Amino acid sequence: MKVRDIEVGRRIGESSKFRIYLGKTPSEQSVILKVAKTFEDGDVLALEAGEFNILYVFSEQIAKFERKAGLESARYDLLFANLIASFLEPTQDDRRINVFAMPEIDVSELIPLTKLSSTVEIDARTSVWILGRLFKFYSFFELIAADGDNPISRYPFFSPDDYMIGPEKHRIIYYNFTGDLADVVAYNYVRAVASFVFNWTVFNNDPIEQEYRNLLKDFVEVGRDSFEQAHKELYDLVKKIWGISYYPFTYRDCGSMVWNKKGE
Amino acid sequence: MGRSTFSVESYRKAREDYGVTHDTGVTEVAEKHAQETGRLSEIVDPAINPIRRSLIRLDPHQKKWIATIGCPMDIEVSCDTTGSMGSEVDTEMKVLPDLYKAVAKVLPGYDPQLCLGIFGDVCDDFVMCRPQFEMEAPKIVNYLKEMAPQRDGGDTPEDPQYAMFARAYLTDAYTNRIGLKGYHFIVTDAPCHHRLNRSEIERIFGKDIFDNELKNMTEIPTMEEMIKDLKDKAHQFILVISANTRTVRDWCDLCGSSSVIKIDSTRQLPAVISAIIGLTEGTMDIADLERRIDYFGLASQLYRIDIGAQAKLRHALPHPVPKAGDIFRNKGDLWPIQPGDEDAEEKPLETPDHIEYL
Repeated sequence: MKVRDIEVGRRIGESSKFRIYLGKTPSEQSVILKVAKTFEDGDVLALEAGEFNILYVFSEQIAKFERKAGLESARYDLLFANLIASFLEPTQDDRRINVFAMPEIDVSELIPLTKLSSTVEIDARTSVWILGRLFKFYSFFELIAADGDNPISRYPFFSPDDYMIGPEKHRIIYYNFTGDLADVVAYNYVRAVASFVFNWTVFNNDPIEQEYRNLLKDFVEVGRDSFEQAHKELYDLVKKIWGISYYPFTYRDCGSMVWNKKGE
Repeated sequence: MGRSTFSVESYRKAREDYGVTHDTGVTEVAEKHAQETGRLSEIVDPAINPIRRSLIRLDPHQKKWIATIGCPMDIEVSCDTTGSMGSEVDTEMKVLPDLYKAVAKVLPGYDPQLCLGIFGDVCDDFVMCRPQFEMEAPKIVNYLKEMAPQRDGGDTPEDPQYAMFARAYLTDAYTNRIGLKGYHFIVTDAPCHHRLNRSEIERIFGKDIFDNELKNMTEIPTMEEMIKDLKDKAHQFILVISANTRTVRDWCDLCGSSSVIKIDSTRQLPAVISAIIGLTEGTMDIADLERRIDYFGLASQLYRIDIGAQAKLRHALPHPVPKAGDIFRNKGDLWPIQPGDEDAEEKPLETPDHIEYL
């Protein structure tokens, strides 16, 4: 079936207020549709649409500034889904539908982060870019909060349910802004993000890896004053111990001892 | 009541016909006349037939009545014309075609009816001008040229509360009759006096107002009561132009922060007003907002309004919103004849036999 011009595919998820479907636009672009379960449930998707628009416009402003200043782009736009439509659909009792495209990656290459983290374990070097992307995403919120117009003064709670992961292309994409928000307390957020990655990672006894493990443990135990600071500390150490280079997604199924690689 | 609506051609012709060909000094003649006679033109004087009406347009049709355009949507804008905002009627005249076009786009199937008024200060000779709700260019151009902005304003705050009072208690809107709300915008750069005074109400709306139109008003409402009543009848917004933080805070305290939007200039009115209406009605794609509002701070304020508020009211109605071609048994009927009624015409079902639900 179709809504507007979008061919709706199979259902891939569900929350208390909406269902999630795959879809394809007439130009064959893969998209994700969130369909409110009732007309009233559309409120939560309307709010989400506004928040995603703010993220996009703010990332554009930063990119514009970077171009003017001749700086390398931080590409914050790659960290969250691109809202391409949010409308009340008359053929669905006016239930709101949000449509998202994934920036520079096909939806088929993405997996819900929760699903992946519950089925496989990752090695330490793989955890680096995952933690780095999550820190970078929240440091983007810090930039928004510091902006004069301050359109988002509260951050979404960290929940792996809100992210998709593209293991081969090292992509983490935030795609669900319908959860609870909280006042900005970087200390707790750094701890929550680091704790998730720490618990997902298998560390070996290599002294270098232990140095990295100690940093993560420190993030978990004492947090940091800002995500920007945590991000910098992470990459300063990684540069020192491993250097910055592409490292394939290295994982093993839960309960298995065999390591696999994706993206070599 | 006719089928004609606003068009750019009729707007241009009306300006020529009324001799309003310059972009400035649109109200010069009316201002002079008001100064000399001490009276406003009766088409903008809030004391002459004080009730403003926004009604559905019906034509006779086989001993019944047919809706010619659709459900009316009353949109009232009252613009500050004190001090530096003295020439805002010129801007209203200039942006009128864009305003109508923009609101019509987000109100498909409706009949947008505009009441574009002005307000000043109670120390002025004329505190406000309030025309009828109109939908045709000649009538709107005519009433705009008849405004008499006072341009002084005396002190700040100003007195837009009487414009809000008028929408709350002196308006007969079809939207309200069926359970929807219209739209009310105050455009200002100043805060508002927090007072409603009986003698000022009589001065503005006529000395007999409490004997006639407001005879059931035994006590003057407080500001809070008045704003609550206004919000019951209209989606109410304050568009604050280049104002300081204190002014914005004052309006937020009075009307709630989701009703207050900061803008840079009245030139933004068509884009901002249509975006507010489109979001409230649920007819505008939220993802399109950034393309329409090319200013980050402004767009982010618009996400805080009650998106879909009118759509919720629409869903609670006992019948679909009347549209062009609907048949009414009598002219004063609230609803058209519904399918299944005894005298309903046979009409093909508009909904498909089978709807697939996601």
